[in-house]
Amino acid sequence: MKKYLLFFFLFPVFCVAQVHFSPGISIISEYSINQFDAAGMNGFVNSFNTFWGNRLERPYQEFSGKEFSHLNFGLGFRIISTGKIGYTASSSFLYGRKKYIHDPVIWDGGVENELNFRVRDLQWTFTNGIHIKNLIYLESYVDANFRRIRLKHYTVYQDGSKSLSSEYKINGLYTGTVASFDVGFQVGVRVKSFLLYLKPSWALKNFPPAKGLVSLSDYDSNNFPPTDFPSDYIIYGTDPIQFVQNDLGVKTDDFEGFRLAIGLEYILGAENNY
Amino acid sequence: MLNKYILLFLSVIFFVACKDDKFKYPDKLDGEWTIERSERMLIHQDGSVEIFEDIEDAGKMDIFEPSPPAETLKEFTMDYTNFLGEQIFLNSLLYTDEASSRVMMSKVLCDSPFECDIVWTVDTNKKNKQVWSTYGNETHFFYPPDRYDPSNDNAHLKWRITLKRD
Repeated sequence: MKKYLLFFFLFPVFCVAQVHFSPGISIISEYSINQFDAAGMNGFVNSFNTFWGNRLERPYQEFSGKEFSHLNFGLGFRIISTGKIGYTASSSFLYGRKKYIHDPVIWDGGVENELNFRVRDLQWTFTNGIHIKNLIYLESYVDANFRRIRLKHYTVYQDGSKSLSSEYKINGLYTGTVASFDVGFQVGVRVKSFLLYLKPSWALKNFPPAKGLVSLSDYDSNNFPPTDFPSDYIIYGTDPIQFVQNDLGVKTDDFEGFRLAIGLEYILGAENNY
Repeated sequence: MLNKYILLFLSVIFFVACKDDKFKYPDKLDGEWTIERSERMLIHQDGSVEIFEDIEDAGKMDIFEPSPPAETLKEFTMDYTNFLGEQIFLNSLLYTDEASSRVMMSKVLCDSPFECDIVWTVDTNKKNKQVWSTYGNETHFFYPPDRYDPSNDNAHLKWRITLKRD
């Protein structure tokens, strides 16, 4: 895999005999279908439904893992070389965010629990590849992605009041940051100043190392531990010591994974007069 | 030409990177406030609300820098008279979460790092007006005995205060 990536990333450099480069500024808009590992959140959903099954008017629905798909916008820099087959590379910053409210659970009596997510992505991307007649772009792709997650667990009362207060232990604001390194490729078609592209990428697991140890946690909680958002509600509710010892919170690196982006890059400059 | 584009690109990056990300919310609360209104109520299962305390001009709150200063903490005094005419005076530290969605009054119920704070949910967050609410089950505010199952209770307590900057 590493050899393949290295070859893929360096191959365009060996193709370039020309030395004349044309630079440009890129304005980017893309829709990114983001897949995350829903095992942690579904662990919560299933154990909660099992534990309180006979008290619930409507249980939680499972997560599909695609809830955080969203639009990204960005600004970047691109160079291309002259020639029918030439070199191209780019770097850009992309920003996107998503608000997502999961279908609430409804207790007997009408009180609801609401899971309210705010996800913010900041990506620093690099592409490196070749263009054919400045029409077809074939590039390798890497990015560093910083994802900030906020999960508010509300209790919603029958009059519509929404509480994050302390009357229920699980109420709170759970936060975490995921730093991931994604690799993939980008295929595009350029028409005049517009580059339409498709970009699949995969997050490298366990890089940076030990990130799998970090849980989504309520850092301002004044509750007795645990203060992590539970992946196993039954142990959270019945044996908090075991919960803490076995570190059963939902992990932040669950919230990364495969992405498929479809985007449009408006390029100012970077012309090829071969 | 290349240098011009690089300069423009870097200028934009520096502009974004230098954006002030200082934690604002506790600082915004500094000053003297009137507790313009204090309402305590029961929320019933059918959604109806039974108000058993509705006091206008219920007291004062003063929020200021603690000594020594701390970036995410404030000190406060709260002088409040409830519907029974009882005067309550609180003096402690106050902090918020990173989303400005909760205001916590530290250790005002007891003296332990755990479960002694009053946790207010922020309903309205404006420069000159704050509305905060805290809740309980049918009989206990803040930390009721059962903190897991809301279906056990026929009603829930709510205490809402409206603060207006003096």
